[in-house]
Amino acid sequence: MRRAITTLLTTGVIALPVANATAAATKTKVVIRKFTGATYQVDRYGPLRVVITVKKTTKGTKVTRRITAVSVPIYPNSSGRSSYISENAIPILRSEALRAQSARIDLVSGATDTSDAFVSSLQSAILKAKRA
Amino acid sequence: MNAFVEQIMGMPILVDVRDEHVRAEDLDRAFAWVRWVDVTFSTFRPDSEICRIDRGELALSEAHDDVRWILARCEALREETGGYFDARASGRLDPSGLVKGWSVDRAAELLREAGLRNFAVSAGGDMRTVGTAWRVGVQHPHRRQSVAAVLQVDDAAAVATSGAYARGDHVIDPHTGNPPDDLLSVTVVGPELATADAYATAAFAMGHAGPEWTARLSGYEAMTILADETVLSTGGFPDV
Repeated sequence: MRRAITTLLTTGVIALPVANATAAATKTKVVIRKFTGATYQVDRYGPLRVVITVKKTTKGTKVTRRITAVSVPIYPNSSGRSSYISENAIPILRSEALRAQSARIDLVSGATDTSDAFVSSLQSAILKAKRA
Repeated sequence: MNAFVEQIMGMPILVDVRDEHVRAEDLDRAFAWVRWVDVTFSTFRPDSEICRIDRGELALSEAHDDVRWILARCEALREETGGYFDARASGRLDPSGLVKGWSVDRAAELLREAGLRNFAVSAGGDMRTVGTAWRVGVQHPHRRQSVAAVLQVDDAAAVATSGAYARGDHVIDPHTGNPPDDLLSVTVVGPELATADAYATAAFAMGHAGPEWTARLSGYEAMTILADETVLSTGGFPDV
């Protein structure tokens, strides 16, 4: 049950970011809102209602919406397992394939041992680029 | 734009300043702080407080306040992570996993108190940024010339990555003693580097259970790259 809900919402997240041609603004505006879904009866188990928290970012004419949290304030309460779920937000994860990019960046975060050559070298390259 | 680097704690400590003016004495104070941390917390210097505590030569009650605070925080994180962040995972007392990020957090605070408003402090792949619109790349685990994601982080953000692709496996699951084999890296973003770094280490050690654990964290977002090259990010992970 829980797995199914998580998967469903994950699919929803991937589809969510949309471009919107509203009035142009130069500043980035971030609005975080909670949305409560309708209450459904889940077979014989009882009512289910989902609340999602959506972060809406408006940057110029580009609007992106991203679900940042999902919680289930009303959930079938007929077993120990489901009462556990009703007290805890369902974790939401976006899933995508690994990409490789070479975008403009200021710093690199990477796993490194004490003298990881790559990160040291990259940091020093950035250092040089900035002094040039 | 000015950048300053010094090799401390066995890694390059980089201070990258975008403010127009930076006083030499303010930079000196920040670097001197990191050197003091190294002398006090090093696991390689036999006379450090950490080595002396580990050998039973220094009582915790006699240790520096910062040493006691760090060891208490390590214990709290060990409990919070179900034992996956463990300063004694190697069998010896080694709080380095927390100390590195904490020293960067405090260095950033010193620079902020000195009046700087737009800068980053980085310690070998983990960083704390102050000011707006810093773009941080997450290293691609297989292609060393590429990044797997680009994050845009805003004021006072920390980014830490744990992974197995650097020199050998240096994160182990404290419960099994083996490195996890189902993840390539975990990147955690949040307000404090000390905590972000500890969470990244713990989530990496958890293996396949790591992503779901990160999705429950409060105030911290994470991106996990699995061995099958699937990338799992929490809802608010700030990639662009």
